[in-house]
Amino acid sequence: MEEGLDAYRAFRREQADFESLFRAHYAEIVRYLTTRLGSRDDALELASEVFLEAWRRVPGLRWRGRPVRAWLYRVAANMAADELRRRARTAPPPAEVEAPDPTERVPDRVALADALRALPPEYQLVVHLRLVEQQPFADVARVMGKSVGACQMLLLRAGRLLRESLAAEGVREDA
Amino acid sequence: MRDERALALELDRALAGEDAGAEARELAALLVAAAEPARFEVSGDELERALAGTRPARRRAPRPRIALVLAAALAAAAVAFALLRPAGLDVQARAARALDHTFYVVERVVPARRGLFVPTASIGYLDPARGLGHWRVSAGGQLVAETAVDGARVTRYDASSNTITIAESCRAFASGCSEVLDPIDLYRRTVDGPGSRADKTSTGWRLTIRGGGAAGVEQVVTIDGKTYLPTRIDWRDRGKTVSIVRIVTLMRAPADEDYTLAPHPGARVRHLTAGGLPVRKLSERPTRAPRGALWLGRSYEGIAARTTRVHYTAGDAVRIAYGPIAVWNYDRFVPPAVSEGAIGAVKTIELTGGGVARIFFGSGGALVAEIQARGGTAAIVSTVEGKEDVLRALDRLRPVR
Repeated sequence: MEEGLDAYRAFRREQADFESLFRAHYAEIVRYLTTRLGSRDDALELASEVFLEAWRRVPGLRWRGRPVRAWLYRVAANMAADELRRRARTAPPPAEVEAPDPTERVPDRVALADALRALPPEYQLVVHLRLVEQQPFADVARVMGKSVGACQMLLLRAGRLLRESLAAEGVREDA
Repeated sequence: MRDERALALELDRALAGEDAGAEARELAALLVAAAEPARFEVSGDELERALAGTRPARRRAPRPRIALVLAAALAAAAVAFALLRPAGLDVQARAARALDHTFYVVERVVPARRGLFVPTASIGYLDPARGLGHWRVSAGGQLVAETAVDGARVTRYDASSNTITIAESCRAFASGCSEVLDPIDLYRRTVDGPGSRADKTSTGWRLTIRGGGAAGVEQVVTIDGKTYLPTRIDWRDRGKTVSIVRIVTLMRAPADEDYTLAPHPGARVRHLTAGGLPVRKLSERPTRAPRGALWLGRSYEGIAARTTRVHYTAGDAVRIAYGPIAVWNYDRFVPPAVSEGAIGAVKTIELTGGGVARIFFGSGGALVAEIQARGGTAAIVSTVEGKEDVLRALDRLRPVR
């Protein structure tokens, strides 16, 4: 990712060229929303909303030293939070779920996905950027508007929270 | 804290597959497993479908009045053609017919003499028969201007001044729509008129067309012998060639091209009358909502309607305001509150009661929904956040009885 003036120029380029912006970032926003919402179909739908909002808002964004991509993630995170709140209001009460088998050695995918989704949004984002998009921490930091060290600490805490969450659910953590 | 930082760095090393302690390796494995389900590809098809669904709305149909004027002009041209055209001039008729499509155009305009003006390249879409176009002009690889002509409205972005100008006609600009529309449009309008002469060449035809432009100006147009499309237009002033338009590409394109300007962040917007003068508001006075105008009722969402007739230097419009939402009713002259917000169309939706609305996300957070239905042209302009408010208002829109 560019720095200084190059980053500024890249920001202006992305502002002026919606199609390139879309092609560059649509897939990662879909992946991020899939993690947040737990459904790829819902993610595809919401990602379109994110980019509609981008069409409307990105041309008017002011340069604040962060890439347009950071704004996309912020909007996606807000929309995902709205969607989850809406679901929580309308969803029926959860049915009794059978406790996972504590002898299971590898945490199953559902438990892991649930645990990841239960993390604070900031933790989910750092996991997504570093481990799904495989971005170097310098880029993760630019998107998140934090220092590299702060992002590394966030990832560490995300890992620990995941472990605690799985342990609390009775799933053995030694994946 | 120092231990935490050390562990965070160790975790990073573990994720990179390097040597690390047991806890770091354990957390790394857990994080990798948790991230795994999200590591999927979005197919090219999915992306294209989503992009198509998110792109700005496609071309807008010309306003009924404009369509009427165009139809009348075409009918008049047909009558004149029938009366004046010498028999047997089949080339001109074919050349005129060949242009009756939407085209993707790439043009280079060069001066006949070096230094007369800077050569430019124009790229865009053009529908000469309907007077629609959208093209970008560049010089030396830099964008100079972008122009969209869409029915009654001409919108032009000038890069040097970072200004978007909205006008009621190409005549508002000193140079007209000279980059693309004018040469081809003038050629189209005059090609089969009485002032045109066709001469056979080795590859097609050369048409010499007098009249239609300024006095003493003639076009010499090179026509492809197979397609009857122009490949070069030489403009001559009193016998001397001034400029040469090389039509590099003139390729048929789907008729639903987009004739709206791309967003230009931070650009200043100004509005001109058809004569090229800035549009100014002269006065406004409260009035009763005229019968037949579209509105949301005597009140909407608990806010009483306030109706105002607004006089501009270019025409009148009626604003029926409900707090932050206003319904503008207008005829040929599109009031600045609507036209300045209607840059960069986003969505065309069908209304449940018939007709369509085009929703624009304008600059400054305003939303504009322009409606041609139920016997009138109107627009809802909303300064509140969220398109739901506009969609709800669209549903409630009805004529004043």
